[in-house]
Amino acid sequence: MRNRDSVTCAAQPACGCGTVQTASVFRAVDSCAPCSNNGTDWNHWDRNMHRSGCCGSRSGGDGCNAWGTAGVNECCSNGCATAADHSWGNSCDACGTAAAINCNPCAAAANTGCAACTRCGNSPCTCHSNGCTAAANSCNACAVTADCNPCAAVANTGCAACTRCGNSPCTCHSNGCTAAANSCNACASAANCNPCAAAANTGCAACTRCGNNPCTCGLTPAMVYETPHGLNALHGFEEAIRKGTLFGELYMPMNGECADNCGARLCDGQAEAFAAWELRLYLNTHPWDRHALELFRQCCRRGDLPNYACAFASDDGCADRWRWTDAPWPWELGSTCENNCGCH
Amino acid sequence: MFVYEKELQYPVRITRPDPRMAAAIISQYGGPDGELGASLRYLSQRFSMPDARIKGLLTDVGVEELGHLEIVGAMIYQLTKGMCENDLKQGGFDAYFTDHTLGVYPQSAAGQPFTAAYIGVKGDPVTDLHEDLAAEQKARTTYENLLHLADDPDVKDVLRYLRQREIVHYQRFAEALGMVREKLDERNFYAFNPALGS
Repeated sequence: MRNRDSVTCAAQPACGCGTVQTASVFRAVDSCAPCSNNGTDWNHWDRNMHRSGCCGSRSGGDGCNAWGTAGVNECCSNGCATAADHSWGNSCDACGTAAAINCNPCAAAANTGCAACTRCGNSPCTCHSNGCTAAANSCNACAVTADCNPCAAVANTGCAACTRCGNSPCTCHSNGCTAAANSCNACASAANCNPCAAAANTGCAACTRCGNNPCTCGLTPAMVYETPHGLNALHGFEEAIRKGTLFGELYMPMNGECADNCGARLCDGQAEAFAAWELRLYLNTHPWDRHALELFRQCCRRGDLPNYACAFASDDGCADRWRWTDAPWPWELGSTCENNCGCH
Repeated sequence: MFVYEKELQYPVRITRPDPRMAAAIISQYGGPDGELGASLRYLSQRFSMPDARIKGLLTDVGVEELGHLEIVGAMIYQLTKGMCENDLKQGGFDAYFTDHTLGVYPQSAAGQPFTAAYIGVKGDPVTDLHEDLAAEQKARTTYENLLHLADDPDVKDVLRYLRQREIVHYQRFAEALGMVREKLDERNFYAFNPALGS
């Protein structure tokens, strides 16, 4: 019993022109039958071109779909049969060799239009998916830069993963550095590399997009105001509460709105309480700012400010930094009555 | 544990009732970008924040927003207390008055009751801080819209103060995001959620 779709079928009777092999799962032996439909029937054997019959109606009416040579009913899988046969415009475009029974289109020296191997120019055709075209081209170590893996340096081993290094040995890193002396950790070339290439660029380990010092980029939004030298431009306390902030850089009123000396009479101590509160928010994100810490304690030395503003103002044992935020917080597992309060 | 200080963070002394304005300002009490949502968001997010400094920041800002909630409530109270019947009938406050009289109820200016759907608590510090940055900007914009609607200087003074506080909070949250960033892999900030560990 024959598998009708197999290309390696058992020996079949050759059917002459005008006949076509018939196949049936019910038949033990195939036979040749006349081509029906005025010789234009095609059965799937014809696709494989193995000893099929001649059911083509193309010129010559022979069995193979590609050429017109009568009697030639042994075709290759891509349809090429004769050297001179380019007229059919089918899969025989590139194979011109008569003997090329299994015509790999990349068999000709002048191999244009090789659908399967557009980049291999040599025979035997050993193209690889990365498209290398050099003659001695195993296509693992690329010798030709242009269409190949751009790690094209001579001693270019192990460059499979490398797409941006132009030098040898190829030691590219994912950040795309291209400088020659380029380990790609300390960037020598600012342009394509980690742009924190400024001279005073300390602490930029986390920075991938900054050109400035201090390096303050990454996830931080652009509208943040830096205070590189600590507190700047502090308002007086009463001015601060009326404006809504102690920090000059952060005061950004709407156009046309009253800038200062507006508003209701303040309660006694309300301005200092506000300043203390502003400073504790600042200290939460700048715990080492001693200037801010001292100013905060100054506000709170009045002794009569609301508790919420001056919690943790005492400097007993806490002189070095802001400790309000220290772990543990009350909901954490290590928190006890003794340790959940920090310095008071 | 929460302690109450019997003093507003900023004084509210509104002499002229204006129920129409109250109907707009109520959005900062219980609306999508209002103080109730802000405080609940920050006080809830702090539990899953791995960095102690940011736990502290969220606690403090969350508490301050509760203080602002009180200020907004005070404004609503003063804008509606002792108004004339004519003011009431001018419109803009009828629907609210019907359901709440002069009570202060957490809802948006459009009348939707407060809901936790207004806030996000995602349990990832990068994500939550971005939520907080956006929340502060939305609050700022809302206060600016209210400043456009208001004409009474006593009202505008408080709105200006509250708007400026949102700008300061935005700055602090951005600094907090910088702190989180420092602890992450600079080649891939999203390699893992710090709240879950590596």
